[in-house]
Amino acid sequence: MASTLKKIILKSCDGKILEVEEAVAVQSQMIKNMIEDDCANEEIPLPDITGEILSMIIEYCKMHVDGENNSNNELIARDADFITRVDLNTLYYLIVAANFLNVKSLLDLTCQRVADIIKGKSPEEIRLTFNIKNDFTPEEEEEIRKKNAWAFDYKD
Amino acid sequence: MDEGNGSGFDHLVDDLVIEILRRIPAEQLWWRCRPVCKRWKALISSPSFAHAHLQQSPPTFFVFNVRTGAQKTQKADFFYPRDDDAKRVFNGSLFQRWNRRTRSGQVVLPIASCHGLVLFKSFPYSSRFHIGNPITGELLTVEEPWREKTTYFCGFFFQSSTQEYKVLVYHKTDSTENSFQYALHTLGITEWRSLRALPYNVRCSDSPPVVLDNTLYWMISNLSSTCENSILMFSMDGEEFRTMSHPKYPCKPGAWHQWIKLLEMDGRLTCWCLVGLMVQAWVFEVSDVVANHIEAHTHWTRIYVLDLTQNFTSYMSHSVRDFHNVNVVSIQNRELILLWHGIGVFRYNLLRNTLRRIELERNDQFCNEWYPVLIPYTKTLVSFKELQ
Repeated sequence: MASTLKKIILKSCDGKILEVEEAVAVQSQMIKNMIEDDCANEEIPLPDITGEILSMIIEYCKMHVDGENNSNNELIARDADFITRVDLNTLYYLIVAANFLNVKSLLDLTCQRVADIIKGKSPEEIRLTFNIKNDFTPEEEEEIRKKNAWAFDYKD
Repeated sequence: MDEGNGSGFDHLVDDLVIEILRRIPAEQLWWRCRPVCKRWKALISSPSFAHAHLQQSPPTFFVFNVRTGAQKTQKADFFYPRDDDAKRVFNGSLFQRWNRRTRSGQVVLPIASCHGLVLFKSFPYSSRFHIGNPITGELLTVEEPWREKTTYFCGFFFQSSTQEYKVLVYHKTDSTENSFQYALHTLGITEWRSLRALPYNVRCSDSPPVVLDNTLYWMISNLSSTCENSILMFSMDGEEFRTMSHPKYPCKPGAWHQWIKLLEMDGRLTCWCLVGLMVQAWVFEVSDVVANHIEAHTHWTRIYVLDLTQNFTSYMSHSVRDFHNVNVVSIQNRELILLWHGIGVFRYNLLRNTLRRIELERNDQFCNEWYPVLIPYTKTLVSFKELQ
């Protein structure tokens, strides 16, 4: 039976070819649109997505297609299991890819994961975690600190 | 997990940074994310971000109570759900600052909230409203329209068609016929503008209007209402008032109308009648509001008949059996928020029929003599700066 299902062929930027069942591939709104426009009969090149990231996204989409009949709580638990296994660097590439492929539930999941990592951190901890440069001058920093000073209970 | 290797995040396009940041509670965004770098500060401070974040913010509430302290000074105590971070929002914030500033023995009390902006007023008396966002610290003062007469607040709302925040008030005139004069103020734009005088005033001190589809709904005050004209409606765009009737049920006007509460649920107008611990609720089919005079009782559909006695049993003590002090004050995520004066705040889940007491910070002081006010609130970064 499985062989009669239509397959979509995806090609990652590092040349990896992945065959995906249509039901799984259409989790991506972008691919769904291509199929509807009859542009998905040949392999689809994905210039910014590596084979590793693409495999993860397909794993995620497959999990959602297979789990369609599962309860909401089960899906949430699986999502949580999937996303907590991912390190920050991979999370970044997943966000970019989920956005490009337009997989809304994965974009929600990955962005929420980053938001959860940010929660509870001080500005300095946030900068360290995400490797963000502090580009305020000392005067500007003092200005922000002063403006926030009345919120004296919200200390870092 | 290695959290220290997020080198890519600096390369994310603005849309994706916003997609992440809008999931973070407002107070953390303002106090901890804004100081991270210039780019984050600019994104977080923009009005479009505040709007996107507003859509995502979960509803919460705060409770306050005024008590007379030493030397008869008045003091306001605030309570917040313990599982929410709201206490951090208010503790060091506007209320304390304003109380310190007034100094005249007056106390600044919140009376309404819209999109995370809180409207408050000095008590016992002041001719000004203050509107502020407790998170950003932004504050605005609005002079009341009538200096010589007591102004009654009846609504603070956002008009989406014009993107304006407005305050609606009334005062009592000497006229015998239409003795309630209404007036409207647009934040940052105009002086007060007089609207119509009506034979009705609204009950607002314990229940803010329901705001739905650019219309405000209030129960009309007991003294000026009949069953046919028990609900007042105000359309924001047309600035017109209309009245309609409450759901049809055995009713004694004046006596029973005080038990009726209008609340929004799932984007629809609902009417809740709570007598003791017996609850009845109706939903209004809004699409039928066309005619000037509405035979509204035909448009109300009963959706709930609940007896909460069983649910409340475990909270009853020998001394406390007065359920007339139980009020439905809000609906958040299909849960009724019930305020029981002197006892506490409860959530009743309408899907599971379960009741649970909400742990409040400073719960220990929630004593019998208190008549607290609960204000539904959403933590946001909304600013009115661009309106001025």
